[in-house]
Amino acid sequence: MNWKPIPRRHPSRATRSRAGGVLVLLALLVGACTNPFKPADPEPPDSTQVPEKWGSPEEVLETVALALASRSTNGATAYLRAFADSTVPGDKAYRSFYDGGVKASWQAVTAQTAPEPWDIQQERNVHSTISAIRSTYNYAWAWGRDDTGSPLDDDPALSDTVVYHRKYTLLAVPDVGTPEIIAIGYVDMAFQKKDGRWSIYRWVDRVDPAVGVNPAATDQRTMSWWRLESLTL
Amino acid sequence: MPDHRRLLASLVLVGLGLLACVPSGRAQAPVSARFAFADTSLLRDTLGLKFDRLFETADSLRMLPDSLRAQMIRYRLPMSRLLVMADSMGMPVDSVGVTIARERFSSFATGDLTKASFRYTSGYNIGKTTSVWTNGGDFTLNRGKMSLRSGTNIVMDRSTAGGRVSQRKTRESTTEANWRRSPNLSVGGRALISGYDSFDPASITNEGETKSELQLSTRTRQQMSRQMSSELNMFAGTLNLKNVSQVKQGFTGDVNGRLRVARGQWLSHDLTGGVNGNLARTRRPSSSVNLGTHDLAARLQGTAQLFQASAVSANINYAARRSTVETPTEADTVNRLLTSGFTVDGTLRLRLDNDRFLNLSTNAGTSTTLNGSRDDVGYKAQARWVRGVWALDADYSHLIRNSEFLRRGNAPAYRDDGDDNSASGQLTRPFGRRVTTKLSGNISLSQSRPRSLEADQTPPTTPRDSYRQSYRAEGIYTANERLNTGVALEVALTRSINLPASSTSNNTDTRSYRGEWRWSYRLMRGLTASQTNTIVSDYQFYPFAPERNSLSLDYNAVTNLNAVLTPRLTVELSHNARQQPFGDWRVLDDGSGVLLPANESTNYTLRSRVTWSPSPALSLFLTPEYQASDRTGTVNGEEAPTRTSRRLNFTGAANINVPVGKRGDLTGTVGRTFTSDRTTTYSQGLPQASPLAEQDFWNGSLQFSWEL
Repeated sequence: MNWKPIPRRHPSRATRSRAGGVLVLLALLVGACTNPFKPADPEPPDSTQVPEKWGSPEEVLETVALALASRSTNGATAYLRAFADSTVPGDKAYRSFYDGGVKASWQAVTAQTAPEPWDIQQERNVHSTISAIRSTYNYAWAWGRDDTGSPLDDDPALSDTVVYHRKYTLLAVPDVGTPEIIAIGYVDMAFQKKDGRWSIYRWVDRVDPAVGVNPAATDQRTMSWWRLESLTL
Repeated sequence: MPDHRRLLASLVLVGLGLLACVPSGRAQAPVSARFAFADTSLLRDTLGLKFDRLFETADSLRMLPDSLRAQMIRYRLPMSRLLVMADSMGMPVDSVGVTIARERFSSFATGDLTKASFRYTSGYNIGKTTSVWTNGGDFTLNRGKMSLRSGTNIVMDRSTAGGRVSQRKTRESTTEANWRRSPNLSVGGRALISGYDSFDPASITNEGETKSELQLSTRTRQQMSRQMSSELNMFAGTLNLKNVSQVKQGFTGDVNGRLRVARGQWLSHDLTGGVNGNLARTRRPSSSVNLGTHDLAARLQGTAQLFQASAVSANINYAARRSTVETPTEADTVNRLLTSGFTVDGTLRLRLDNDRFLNLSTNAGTSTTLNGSRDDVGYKAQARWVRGVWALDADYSHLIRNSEFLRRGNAPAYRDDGDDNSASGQLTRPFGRRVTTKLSGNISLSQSRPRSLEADQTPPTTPRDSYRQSYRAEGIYTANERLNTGVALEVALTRSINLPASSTSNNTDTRSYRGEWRWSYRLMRGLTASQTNTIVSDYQFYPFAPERNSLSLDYNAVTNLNAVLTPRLTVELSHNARQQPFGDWRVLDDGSGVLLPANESTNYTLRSRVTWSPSPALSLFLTPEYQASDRTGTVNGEEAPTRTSRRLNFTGAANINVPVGKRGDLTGTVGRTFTSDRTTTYSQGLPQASPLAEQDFWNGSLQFSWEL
């Protein structure tokens, strides 16, 4: 067999210039396009300051109310600082106890197991969960009198650990329209004083009997519910 | 001093050069190298069917391997037979089974033979709190040009919750008699009777419904030419419906048909459609006011394929539907509910062969429902290019979606404009016969921009972006038939971005790193060990709230041992060890980070399954399983247990596949399950007493079928 070698062919000048032109055009096209995968730049967070006062249990309650009303990062930080964080052996650690009916209802609805115990680590997402219930409304948190026959509040002047009993209500207020209650219930709170600073180390949550475990208005939930809901964030 | 940077650059160039060339003296990589990472469990034989070359065939048919496998199993058709039938019938593979089932019950397909058949099926499923009993019968009688077909199905559910037993019974029956006047015309009548009853002790009102439709029927089919055929069916009759919300009596009608047009090798078009509705007098059960209502539903669906076997082909799908339903209201007025939708998509395929193609697609759609409306427009490109041992797959898609939501409760009506982009690429290359590598990457961005349609109102959702990118490199080494191993490394970034200042404190950037190593080794004939080890770390950063940064780690090891001791006795043993520490992540001034442990979960599972099959009619299996899980947290600044759990599950069961006489079959599973669980929670490091929870119950399912 007499194989005839295939001659090596080089692209002509015209071909090369055409290829170059196509490359330049492609580069210009790519350069002219906006990046379809570039996310938008978010606005910087609301830097509204929340005055943090820890001089008495009442001041702690006022700080918690302002922190929950503020959707800012400072509000989330202030809210978290209201709870005892045990960093030294011997410190009291924050624990929250669910309302039994709410816990059972949440477990039945979500088919998940409520974590026990609920500590400061789980509390971290609660503020953002509550902030997201009506993300565009204004919030107002109110502490009310516990009218369910609970004992009187302890006197903080007599002890470094006291127990308070309160009713809480969180109102979501739209710019126009009717305000809504989005959190309601009763709580027995234990405070501790350490180095002159008061903090909450027990939150025993109770459902408002007038609202019930399964409220007609589906968002009128206890803090037990919203705490558990924060697990799904 | 040598210049390390220059040395490194040279090494990278040499490495790339080695990667780019085919190693001399070695065989070309097998065609199936691209499927080296596929799910090989799909290849397991079942029901006498084999799935050799499943991935390659599915790839050439442009369908998912599991879809092709499901078609084969559902209709008990070997792959070669399924492909031949699809070719001879001139339709896609996934339409073959449906067409066979439809023709089986067609009144035109019975001929003039006299024959009768009867099939009875009964099934009983029992679980811990539920039981389901089904009974069904199908009767077919052909005598000359007359045919009678009847199908009945009754399902009874019982479920127990909170000491209360809820019951639900559903029944439906279809009976149709046909007289074939000519090979293409059949007339007759049919009765559609259905109903259900629901009883719940916790409910004040228990629901029930009865519905009957008696109709005259006309079925026709036309064969205009060898390449064009059609069917047209018409039904008209009376309707009687009674349920908890309405009582409806009147006339009902249904017209449906299909048209198939084929022109040589260049066109295939299938069109189906129908209109059904009713004219009725309707009232609420508690009212005496009769209202005139009419319901109407129309649908049209088509698929056109152009130049299917050519290098350039096209495929167009379209569907339209519209329905009107009228119901009585509490005020004895008529409430009309309208829904509609239209979708169309088209694909242009440029194909040299299965390894070199480009598909360009576009789709559009609009739909209106009770909650609002939605419009979509999308584009997609998909390409594959195989050159030598390299195989490159890439795709890109873009979807623009605009939705409008009606006012619901306090949430105002609003519009949500969305834009989704995604792209992915995958590069595969074998090195010789033993090593296959794959490099893949993905990037996607989903944007949502809601705005209120009402003045001075804010929409219930937040403007936001979701971004994700990931890279994965993996390799498989197959030393021989007995040993193979693979490693993978994946890096991903997921960003959740809320745009308004009120929500940005919750924005997160999650960086995930995942490493995986797996191996499988056949220790001896009938004994195989395999193990998968993974390590995952998720760093969750809050760009605007760094004090909430966290790190979760996940170490997981799964070890399996499969032993076929005798052809009738197999043992599977599986052990899973998993450890998941979690805590705050603090970035230090020097840029490094430190984990502040908050809690840690440790889980161990030991599971086995022993199967003994003394005969094809009976197999027995035992599955003991033991789970231990411990969780620790930080109490008073020190690590302390917060929860421990121990659980034992034990299931023993029998699989039955027994012929009953010559025409009956009894199949199913009957077993008993025992579980024992003790969970202890700790308060301040002290255990809280908790009872031992034990459950012991029968479960299983049995089906009996008998055919005359």
